[in-house]
Amino acid sequence: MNNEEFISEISEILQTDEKLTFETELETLDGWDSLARITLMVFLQNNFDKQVTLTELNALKTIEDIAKKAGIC
Amino acid sequence: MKNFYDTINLKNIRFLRIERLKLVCSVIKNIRIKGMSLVLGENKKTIDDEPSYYNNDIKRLEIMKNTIGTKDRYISNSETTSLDLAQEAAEILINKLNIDAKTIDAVIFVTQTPDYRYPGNAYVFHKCFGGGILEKETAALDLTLGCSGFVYGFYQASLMINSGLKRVLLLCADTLSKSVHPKDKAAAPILGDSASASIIEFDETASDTYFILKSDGKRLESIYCPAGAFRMPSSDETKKEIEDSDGNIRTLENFYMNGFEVFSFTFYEQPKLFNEILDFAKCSREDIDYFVFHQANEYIVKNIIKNVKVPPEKSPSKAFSMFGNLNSSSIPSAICGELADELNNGGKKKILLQGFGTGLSWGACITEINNLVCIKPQCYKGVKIE
Repeated sequence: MNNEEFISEISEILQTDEKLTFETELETLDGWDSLARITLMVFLQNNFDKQVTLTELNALKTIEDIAKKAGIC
Repeated sequence: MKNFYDTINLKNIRFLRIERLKLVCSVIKNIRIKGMSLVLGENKKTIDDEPSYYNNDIKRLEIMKNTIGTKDRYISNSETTSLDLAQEAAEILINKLNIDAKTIDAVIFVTQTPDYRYPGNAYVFHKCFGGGILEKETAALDLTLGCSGFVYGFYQASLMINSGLKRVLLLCADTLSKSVHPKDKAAAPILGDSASASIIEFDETASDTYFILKSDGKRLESIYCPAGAFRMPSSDETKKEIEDSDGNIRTLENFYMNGFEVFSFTFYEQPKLFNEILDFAKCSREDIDYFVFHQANEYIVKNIIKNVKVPPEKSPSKAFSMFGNLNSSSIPSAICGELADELNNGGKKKILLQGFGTGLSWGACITEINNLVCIKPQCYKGVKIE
């Protein structure tokens, strides 16, 4: 998965039409709710075989943090 | 492989402790589920009529409908209890099977919402059922469990049959709508009220049934009711409404679920258990006719189906949308609600059942049914579902 595809998947998870970049802060997005956290957990496991806890998810600040968790940057 | 097994033969039950996997598994002979019924609360609720759960945000409501599968559920009247629903489920099943209630050797009642603090609902059922026709010789036993309750109850019934009983009535019933706070937006719109009845019998022709059961008490606070029993008795303090960071309102005497923790438990643990039960029963996916998972919600069921790679057409996933999350009756709701036409007179079928929930507790079994008598769900007092 390249960066563009990754951002597109994250937009889907966050149910947002806003243009996202690696610098976008998650807290500024309405879609960053409990359902998005669950969907992100599924996404990380299914695509990158990465397990995350709620504490780890809550510590994520930007899209780049998610990418680091996925191991793509 | 034999070195890994420490086998104890006790009559015809084999308890296997697989040291390598640290699992406790059981193979039980000569048991068969003969029939099953489901009775729902009498009031149908449809999420489209309740946008206030999502602050009247229709976009949010649509997202919940599309991802979680939230649609219809059935809520009991304030005076209708778990016992009432269970009595009706038992009555329609016993009539359909044409058996004499006096031949029931034991009643197991799985509930978290009993009629009395004590004794358990199996005794209330023993008193009331059929105007009191059950014999003194009928054993009565309660299990306090939620979504894993059907598998645990089936296991308990199977053990009783292997100790000499011939016929056990397994009842799973809850009215969690009375325990959840109506302003708990995370839980109230997904929980339904219902009861299921199942008859489990000694059957010499039955092939082996395999069970694996697991528990994790350390995660007890993921789904529980904090106050109102004896650890934290009911008081003015426990009746105070508290709003959490997501805007859900509840008191300490209400049902509480940490949705993320529970989802995470489901997502990481259930595929493991699924593979373990297949391994243990030496079955491949092709050997199993139906995979019936606890219908927590459609998103969870579909994720499990995808992760364990079973064909969606062999694994019901619509019961949550049709009836809500029915906790211990949820596996029966998928069987009676989605598979009744295929199972009635459908001959021998091998089925995998897997439940998971409060405790935390989870269990799976592989068993064979043969012309399972499967009664389609109906509402309390015999009302047909629209």
